Amino acid sequence: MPISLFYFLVFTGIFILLGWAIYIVYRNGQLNNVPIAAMAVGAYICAYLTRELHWPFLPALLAAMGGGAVFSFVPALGLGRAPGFSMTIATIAMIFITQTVLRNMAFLGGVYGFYSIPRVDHLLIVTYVIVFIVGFFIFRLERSRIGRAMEVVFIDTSVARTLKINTYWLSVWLQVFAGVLGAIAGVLFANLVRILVPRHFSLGMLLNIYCFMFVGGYTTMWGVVVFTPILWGFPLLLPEAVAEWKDTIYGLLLVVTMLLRPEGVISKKMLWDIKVSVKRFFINRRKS
Amino acid sequence: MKKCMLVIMVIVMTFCISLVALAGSEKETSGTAKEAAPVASDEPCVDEWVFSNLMFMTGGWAPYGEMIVWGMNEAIDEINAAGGIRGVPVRAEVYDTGTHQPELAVTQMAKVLDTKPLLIMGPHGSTDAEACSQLAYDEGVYMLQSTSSYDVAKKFRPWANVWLTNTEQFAKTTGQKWIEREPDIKSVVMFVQPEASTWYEQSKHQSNGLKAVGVKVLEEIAVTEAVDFSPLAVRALSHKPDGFVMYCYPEAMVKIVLELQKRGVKENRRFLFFHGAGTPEFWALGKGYLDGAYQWSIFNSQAKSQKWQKLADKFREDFDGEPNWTVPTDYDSMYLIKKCFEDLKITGCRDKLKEERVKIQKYMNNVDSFEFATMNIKIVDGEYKAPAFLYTIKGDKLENPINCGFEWK
Repeated sequence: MPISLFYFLVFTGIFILLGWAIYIVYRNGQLNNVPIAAMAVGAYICAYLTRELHWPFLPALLAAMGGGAVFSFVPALGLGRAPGFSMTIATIAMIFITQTVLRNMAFLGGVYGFYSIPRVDHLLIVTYVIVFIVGFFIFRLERSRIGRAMEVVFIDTSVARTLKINTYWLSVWLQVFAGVLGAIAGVLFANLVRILVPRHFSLGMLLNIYCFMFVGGYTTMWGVVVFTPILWGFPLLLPEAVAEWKDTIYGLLLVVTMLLRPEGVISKKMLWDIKVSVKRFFINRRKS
Repeated sequence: MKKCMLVIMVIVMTFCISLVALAGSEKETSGTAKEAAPVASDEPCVDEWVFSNLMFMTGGWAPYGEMIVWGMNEAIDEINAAGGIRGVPVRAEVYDTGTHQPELAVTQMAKVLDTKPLLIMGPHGSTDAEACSQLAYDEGVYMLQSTSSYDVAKKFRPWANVWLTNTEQFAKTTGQKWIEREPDIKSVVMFVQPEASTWYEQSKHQSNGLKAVGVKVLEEIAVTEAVDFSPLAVRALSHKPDGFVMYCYPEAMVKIVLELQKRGVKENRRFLFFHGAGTPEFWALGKGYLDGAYQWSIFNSQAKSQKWQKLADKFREDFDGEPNWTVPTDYDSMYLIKKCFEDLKITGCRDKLKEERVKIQKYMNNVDSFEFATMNIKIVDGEYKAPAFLYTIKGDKLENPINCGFEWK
């Protein structure tokens, strides 16, 4: 397999996980950016455990997930009731705080970074097994009581409360889950790039994920799945002179999507229509 | 609805087809054989040498990238006009790594490695180099990082080199030369933008160098991108320092100086800028306000060589400003590659790829003496040896270079 295709596919898997991490809390009406900071935490935990303490990959992954959960649980307690805008601002601050703390931790390489992280075999397979498991979990979650509760909270928090939904703990739980997903993405990132620098986990990455999610569609998990490879991949296929305009193209796409189709290209209604059309097609075929 | 579905299907299908095309096309560039007619064993197998350059062409560092690429293209034009390398014309492909976008840097590096290069120019930014150098290192491809960072390149030796001498030595020496010239400066405040490890490492070493000659470093103020720099100026002045050392974006440096001048710092000799200054933006913003200040640099703007005079004149023509340290970096890299390929009789044949990559690595890590555009350099066991300079700014130009050089003996 060409090296570029390998990196493209693994990065796509990482971005899908990050996209879902942001999506899952957004379904609850809150834009939470902690997954990027949790990604840094997960990446550094895994890197430290594998390089310095020679832990195997799986225990390091589990430890990183635990780290991501604890890391996102603490702010979640305070942000559980925060309105959307406050949470966005507070969690952006979390990204900067995490970067600053990491920069000042000499044992993690500080500003110079953490190098020579051991290589993991079959990273591509590992990535997509994780993506599949997480995807299946989210798919089932959305169809559960919690998923329906999220749906109501997204539409109206007051209505949700009248239905006896505990919006606070629902938000806390989802934020922790998003933190775990961020940490998993961080572990994969650390094992792919094999070098960590605090600067890696910045707003630039967050804005890419926003673009993948909001252009793809934020009302369903499939928007991220379909549009992450497309939006991440097209600058790599374009000639360099055009690809340099990647950020401008992303920005324009986001603006155009917001204007013409605010819910993103793939919406719940669209998926429903597709389902009905497919059913009809098969019924008609059977009849004929 | 149907229209929408159709559009999505077309997008997805186009993407899938492109992906398959990408997977199946290992574009061959620098030095890979095109199964041409049989040639003598040391004759080049390629119709064109194509060198991949991983460069920050977008984001905050893009102005630097533009100037480095400009210098490289000048060298290519000159080399091609003189018959190319071993009689084969040269071309460069620039891959944008963005500024601080590790995922992009890694992906671009992977794309470059798929072209089976003999060597790679870049990655240039220290953050990019930190992110993606491991790939080339694992593949055994030499990287002429030229501007990244001494300490980063050092981690990837023997497969990487950079046109920066030992940071600890030159950052110390240049700071100490400044104090030697201005002995009344007994305390300083440093403005450091935690932008990249290269700036940070230079500031740390300079701080240690200043302390070693008895200068107190009162505070290292972190600079972030801002519109108003007055709070930083006020904070610095609260320490009542004798001098100010700057490691931040050129725009920030000038704006901080203006804020300090507004608040009573009248003598510009109290300012020391690091070598990231001196961009067209720096001169334009600071026009008339910087005379008497100091700047240290790794390049000799006063070089008298014909090569440099010609390059500098062309730069002035194209950019309407004075050339800075970025201009000769990949200009020099390209000439060094030419010399390396000619000395080693590199063929670019695919069956010799591994062998030639190793030969290039060994050659590049030990260059006895080579005439860069602005000075004579030497590379010993992968370590670049050349002097650094301390300048005084006069008439919006760098003047009176003081050689803070190193002994090669």
